[in-house]
Order: sequence, then C-alpha cells, then structure tokens
Amino acid sequence: MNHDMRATLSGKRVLVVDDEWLIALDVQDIIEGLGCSVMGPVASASAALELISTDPPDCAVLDVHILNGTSEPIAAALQKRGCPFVVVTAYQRSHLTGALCDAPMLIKPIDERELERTLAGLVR
Amino acid sequence: MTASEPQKAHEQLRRQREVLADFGLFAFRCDDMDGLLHRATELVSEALGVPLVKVLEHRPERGEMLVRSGVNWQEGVVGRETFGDHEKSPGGYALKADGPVVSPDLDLEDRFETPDVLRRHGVMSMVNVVIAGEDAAFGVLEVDARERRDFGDDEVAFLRTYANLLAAAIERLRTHDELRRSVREQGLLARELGHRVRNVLGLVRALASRTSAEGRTAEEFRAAFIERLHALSVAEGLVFASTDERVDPEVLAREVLAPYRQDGPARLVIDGVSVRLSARQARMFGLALHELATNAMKHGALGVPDGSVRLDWHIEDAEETQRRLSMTWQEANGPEITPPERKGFGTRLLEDVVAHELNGEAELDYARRGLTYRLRFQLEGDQT
Repeated sequence: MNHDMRATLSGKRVLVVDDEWLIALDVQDIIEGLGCSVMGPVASASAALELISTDPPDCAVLDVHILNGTSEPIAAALQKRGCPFVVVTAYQRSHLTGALCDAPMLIKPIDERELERTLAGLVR
Repeated sequence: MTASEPQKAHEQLRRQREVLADFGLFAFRCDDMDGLLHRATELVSEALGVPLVKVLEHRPERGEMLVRSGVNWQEGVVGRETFGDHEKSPGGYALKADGPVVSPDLDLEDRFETPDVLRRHGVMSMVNVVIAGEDAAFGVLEVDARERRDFGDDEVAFLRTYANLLAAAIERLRTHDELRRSVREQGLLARELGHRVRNVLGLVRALASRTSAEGRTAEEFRAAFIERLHALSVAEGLVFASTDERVDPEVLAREVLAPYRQDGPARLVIDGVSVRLSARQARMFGLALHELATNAMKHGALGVPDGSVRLDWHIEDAEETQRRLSMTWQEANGPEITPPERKGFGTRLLEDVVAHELNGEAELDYARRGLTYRLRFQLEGDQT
C-alpha cells in the first residue's frame, strides 16, 4: 500500500450508505482496513441525513439505489457542506441524476485498490 | 334507363377500382392507426358518393362499439359516441350476421333500431360490413346515406373487398406495435439483467473477501468459500426459475440443506408453511441456513451421531398487512457448546446481516443443551 495514501486516509471518518448489508459489511471492512473509521453503514436516505446533520463525515461512499429511493438527497446534503463523496453503482453513469451526476463513480463489484485511490483523492 | 346511366355505372366502377389501389398502397405504407382509419373512411365516402362513413371498433370487454373514425360527422361523434354491441344496434347486428347488411330504408328496418345519432344526421339508408380480425372481428365499416338507397351488388362487393384490405392493414399495424413494444421490453430486460449480474457479483465479492483466510489452508478457504457461494447460487437459481421472482423457503431449505440430510431426514427435520420470499429475503435465508448447518457440522449437533436439528417456521398473527415469519433452528443431543471467542463472518451474518436485510430480529442463543437461532421478519408483498 502506498504510504502517502495511507497517511492521507488514516483516521478519516467515512459514511457508508448501502442497503445490501452484505456489501455494506464488505465496504466497511475494506475502509477500516485503510485506517479509516466508518459511520454507519446505513441503508436509507433518512438515516444518512440524520448522521450528516449531527456529525458530518470527512467523505462518503454512496450506493445509488437504496431503501425507499436513491442517494440523491444524501449527495445534495453532502455537496452543501462541501463534503466529498464517491458513488458506487451497478448502473451506467447516464442513470445518475441530480447531485450524484458529477461525483467520481465506481462500478460494482467494488475493486479495493480503486476504492482506496478514489477515497485518498477525495480527502486530500 | 337513359343512355348516360351505363356510362355512369362504368365510371363509378373505375373509380372504385382506383380507390382500392390507392388505399392498398396507402395502407401498406401507413404506420399510424388513426391515420389509416381516417383515410379509409374518406376514400369510401368519395368512391360511393356517400358523405357519412364511419369505422366502429368493437370493444367486447365493455360491450360496446366506439365510433373510432369517420368523415362528415358533427363534432363529438368521432372518438366519443358508442353503441351497444347487441343485435339491436346496426353494428352489433352486422357483427352477428357475419356478412354485409344492407338496409335500403331505415323506416322499414325491423332487424335493428336506428340510433339517435344517425337520425340526427338524417341517415335514411345504410350498408354495414364487418372488418375482420385475427382472433375476433376488429369492428364494422358503416356507410350511411341521407336518402333511401338500394346499394347494388357491385357496391357491396366493393365494400367487402375494401373492408378486408382494411382488416389486413389493421392487423399489420397491430403486429408492428407489438413487435416494437417487445423490442423495447427486451432492451429493458437486458439492461435489468446487467444490473442484477453486477449486484450478484458484488455479493460474491463480499462473500469471498469476508470468508476468513486466517488460520486456514488454501484448500480450507476454498471449501468454505465455495459452500457459501453454493448457498447463494441455490437461492439465486430459484429466484430466476420462478416466474414472479418469489421463492418458497421450504424448497430453498431442502436444496441448501441437502448435503446435511444424507443420513435421512430425521437428522435435520424441516417443517414450515409455504410462503413467498422476495429475491433478497431468499438470498439471506439461504445464506443463513448454510451458516447454521456448517456450524452445526463443525461444532454442534450435526457433528455427533445422536445429534439432530429441527428447523421450523410459521406465520405469526396472520393479520392481512403485517404478516411476520418466525423461524427457529433448534439443535438437540449435540456436544456441549460455548459461545465463540470472536465474532466471525458466520456469526455476523446470522446476527446482523440477515436481521438487517430482512428488516427483522435475530437471536443466537448458545445454550448448553444445543444452539438455538430465532429469526423473525416481515413478509413482503402478496402472499396468496
């Protein structure tokens, strides 16, 4: 692992949003392995928005289609606070709407090294 | 008969032949149903010199015939006016007669009644021919004259040919629409399948990376991973095989647990009601059963000769909207067990993942007499 990246990511707080709990668990373990701490994982926009308003993260990993809708409102709230995020989806970019559009995007299944590079780029 | 009459008749026949040819070509090229029907009524009106022509579409599910298209009708008739499809209406009578119906004088007509809308337009005589369809007739082509008129054989023959040409064109348009729709659906399905494959790959990745390699040989790791993958693929296979993406937990349990029941079903009794699990619920249910069974084999009741397991589930308080499934895995006559020192993936899956995914509660009880796992979750959607 690249030492600069590790130093950048160490101690950062990452919000994880995914309604497929097995995948959320996987993402959580990957991110904790990078020396970050995970907020959540949460499966719905309402749970994520509550976390963001009380305790904003350093960055976030957002699945697009989640419980009761999409991550669009979460992306909008993060954008307003200047908090960077990466979108993880099984869809193409053309399916992304609103605040999700311009964010870095990873296609499922997640590649650990790609996730690491992207997160390091977000919080640098 | 005056000298000009045969000439007039000849002229009319020539005109009808031209109209048939023109309409045939138009119908072949047209890809819009309303345009097709409108042109059809226009040309008939022109060819017979009768102003009022209409196409009635039969709607058997409503028991009515709709004025789908027409020329020279007052506003509010085309697209709105309907007649009953019973024998007492001119259109309904034509459908049942299954051949041309000529009515030279509506005042003397006693086979059916003249609808008010026709009287309002001063219709005195009419001829109706059926527009055929592949399964049932599409409807009726009606020609309504404002004078008493005996439509001759040539005119009736012309209308029959015309109606058959129209029927073929309608059928062609319907087939086109169906093909277009089906191509669109195929495209959607292919994309949806792409998402699903990616999601399943995500799950496979999670299973692979969460299956611990610590303290295991490569062979042991492979076996553990492949067994989990098997449970997932059994559930996924059942989802794909069902027409509505629903899975019966009993079928799922029998397939996932088959390797543990080779000594006979008494060793691992499965007793549950038939319900319908969603794709997500089925995946989690299958994975949970696999973790329980493999755990029982290594540390619990399935690892000793006298041990046994009972798996049952039932529906709690069968209220229509909030039906919950309560499942119990109960081990008996096994070795003395103790809770594991650290929470491995299996335990996390049973306690957290499954409960979260199913929006329910899970309870893992390491009682000395045998492990008990209880799972309660809400059933989704229609259960009938």
